[in-house]
Amino acid sequence: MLFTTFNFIIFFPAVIFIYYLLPLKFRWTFLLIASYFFYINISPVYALLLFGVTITTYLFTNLISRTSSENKKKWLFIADIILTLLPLFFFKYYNFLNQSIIDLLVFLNIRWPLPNLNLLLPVGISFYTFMALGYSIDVYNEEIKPEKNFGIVALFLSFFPIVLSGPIERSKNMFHQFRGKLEFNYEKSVKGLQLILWGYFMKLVIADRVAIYVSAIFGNFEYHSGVSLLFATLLYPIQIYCDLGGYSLIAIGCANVMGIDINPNFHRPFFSTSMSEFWRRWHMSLIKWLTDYIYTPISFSLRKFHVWGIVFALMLTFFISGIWHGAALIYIVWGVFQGILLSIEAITNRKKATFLKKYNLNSKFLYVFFSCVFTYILFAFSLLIAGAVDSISEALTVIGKIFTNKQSLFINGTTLVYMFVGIVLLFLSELRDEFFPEKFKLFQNNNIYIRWGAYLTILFIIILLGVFNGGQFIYFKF
Amino acid sequence: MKIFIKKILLFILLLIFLDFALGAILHHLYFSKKSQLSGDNKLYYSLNKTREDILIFGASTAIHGYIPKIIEDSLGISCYNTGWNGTNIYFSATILNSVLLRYSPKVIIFDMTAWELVKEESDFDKISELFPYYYSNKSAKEIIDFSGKYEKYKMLLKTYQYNSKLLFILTQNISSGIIGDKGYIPIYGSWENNLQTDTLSVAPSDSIKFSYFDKFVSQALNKGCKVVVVSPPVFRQYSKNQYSEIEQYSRMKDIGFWNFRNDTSFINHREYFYDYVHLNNSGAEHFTRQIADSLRKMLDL
Repeated sequence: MLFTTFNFIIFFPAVIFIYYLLPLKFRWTFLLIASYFFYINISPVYALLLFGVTITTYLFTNLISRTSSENKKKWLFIADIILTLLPLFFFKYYNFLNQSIIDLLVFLNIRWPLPNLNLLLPVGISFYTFMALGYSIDVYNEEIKPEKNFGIVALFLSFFPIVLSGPIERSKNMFHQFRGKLEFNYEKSVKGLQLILWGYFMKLVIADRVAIYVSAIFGNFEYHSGVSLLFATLLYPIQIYCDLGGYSLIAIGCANVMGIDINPNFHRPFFSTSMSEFWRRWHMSLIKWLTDYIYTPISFSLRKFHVWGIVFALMLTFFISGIWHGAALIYIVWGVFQGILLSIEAITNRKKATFLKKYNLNSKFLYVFFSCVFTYILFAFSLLIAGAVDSISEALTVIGKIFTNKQSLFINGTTLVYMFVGIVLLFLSELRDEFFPEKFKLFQNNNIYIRWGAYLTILFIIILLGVFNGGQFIYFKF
Repeated sequence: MKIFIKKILLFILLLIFLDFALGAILHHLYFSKKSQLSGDNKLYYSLNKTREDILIFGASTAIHGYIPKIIEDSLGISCYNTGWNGTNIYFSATILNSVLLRYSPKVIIFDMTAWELVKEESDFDKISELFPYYYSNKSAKEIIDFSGKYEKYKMLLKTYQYNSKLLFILTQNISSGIIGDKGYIPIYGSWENNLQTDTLSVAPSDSIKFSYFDKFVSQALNKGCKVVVVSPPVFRQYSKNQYSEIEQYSRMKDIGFWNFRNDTSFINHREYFYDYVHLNNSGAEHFTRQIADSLRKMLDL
């Protein structure tokens, strides 16, 4: 049951209806049942895996908090981390590691015939595993007390709006909400419905429409011209942004309607003037997780190495980010590439800040504009090796063709026109939010006619221009 | 909470009203006279108006490969190309169903790629082209309902029937130019890449798609039509016969199977191709003449 399916359109209002009919004290229990129903509907067998990770997390966090011996605590923590990571490793990384070892042994003329496993990746496993790990680390670091109620932990890890593709939430933000009064909040519910509407617009009108063009080009890249490949390369970040960004808005919106707050996942990333700013605006829940549990501890422990400690922490963080995205060399290279870009910015940061201040560049339109464009292009080209095509050699072929092949642009009139309408609307909305947040309000306008007019316009744009057979969300494969 | 529910209900009522009104406007514009006359609204023509002796069915290789005018001039009988980009047997079978309710053409030509009957995720994507005909065409309704168990509920939204049709509606009502010639749409330009060899075997046929194909052929035969399946020319050499199943089926049903795969009059002529799959206008002329010759022999004209 994906957000874009008819089932969900029935499921969600039904859940809301029953949820608010129930007395307050039963609401979280109902949410837990609804969440497992939602997950079982997608992947019945793998719901057991989710349940297993939940039991592991619950048991070990409680054992850790009850143990007074630091040494024993440490070993319990290590066991918890290993057991939590085991399913993720098995389903996501076993084949990659196995194949890498086989390749290495073949290179050394040794035969080791361990078979690859033909298993489907349990949907959402990367997301709920990271949420479970975050909770365990917080308990081990005594930043949070372990939850005694198993149901609350189970709901945290299976909460249906976020279980499939995040945002990767934190126990600190969620537990107190689940334990507290899950009351109806008018403003929050309206805000939630607005987010859901805009999320569907991003996913159905933009992401899935752009996907038609991008897939047509990258799916047969050897037959397409350089300019078509360049165009598809530049469109791909928009597709991913609207795909995961749209999903995140629907997830956050659904939670809001139930009176629950979820942290945002994107903050207008294409207005970033540098890669470091970009990564503070893109997939924020993952980056915040990586920052809190990997980057910050490492850079702190390596602080005596000054900027080189930061460089090492950045490289390792984005190496892990690459691995998180996929068990393939292309994702590792992508992660390392991001690490290098951020390291360069970290090393040159002080000089750059002085330079910008001296010429007051941050307030100059042209500088901001070209910085945004440059950051976008860097990210777009880095994505060539992270999902757009299947291998590094294909990415290099695409880049080669972009600079050498002079044939004309592949035109798919209808797709380009509908895509353009969606992208322009998104751009105008984000431009307003970024630079004129108090002006040209539509969804937040005090005038009900304007507000409702905006809702209906977007709704009919979705019905008339949306792609309703677009398939899955891209991040489901992660 | 009460205010919230009241507003939600009011919003839904407004939505239903506007959907009805907007849907009616779109219906009018889609089916307006100008729209029906235009050559580009070939779907309307294919479903409701064709009376030609020879009908060509298929996807993009059909649209860009068969020039009805050459067949008409050569054989002296009428011909129309109902081909539609990106479609498959589900779409062709729907059009044929509608046609056979009105009359029986003399010849049905079905242009099919080797992978036509293989199951694909996008199998029902182009069925959305038939949405505007949901309430007016029984065959269209059947295939739309079959394409997804919730489609019939989605069709309750009047505007959804015109999903992705806005540009078509706008252009049809602004421009008066007739695009295409009896369903044929020429493409110009030549393929520049070298001939490649394909060693792939075709994946097994999907049983549902095959049953639709069988239904397509059987219905046409039952109505007294002659049926020809054509494997169109492709600028690629094939080391394996990807049409063995179709060949066997054609023999069993005693229908024509004309295979242009590995045909040297095409694979030695890159200049006939727009890309490795599609013929350009000059290639289509050459190909259609060959088809016309074969039709003449088949019909003893």
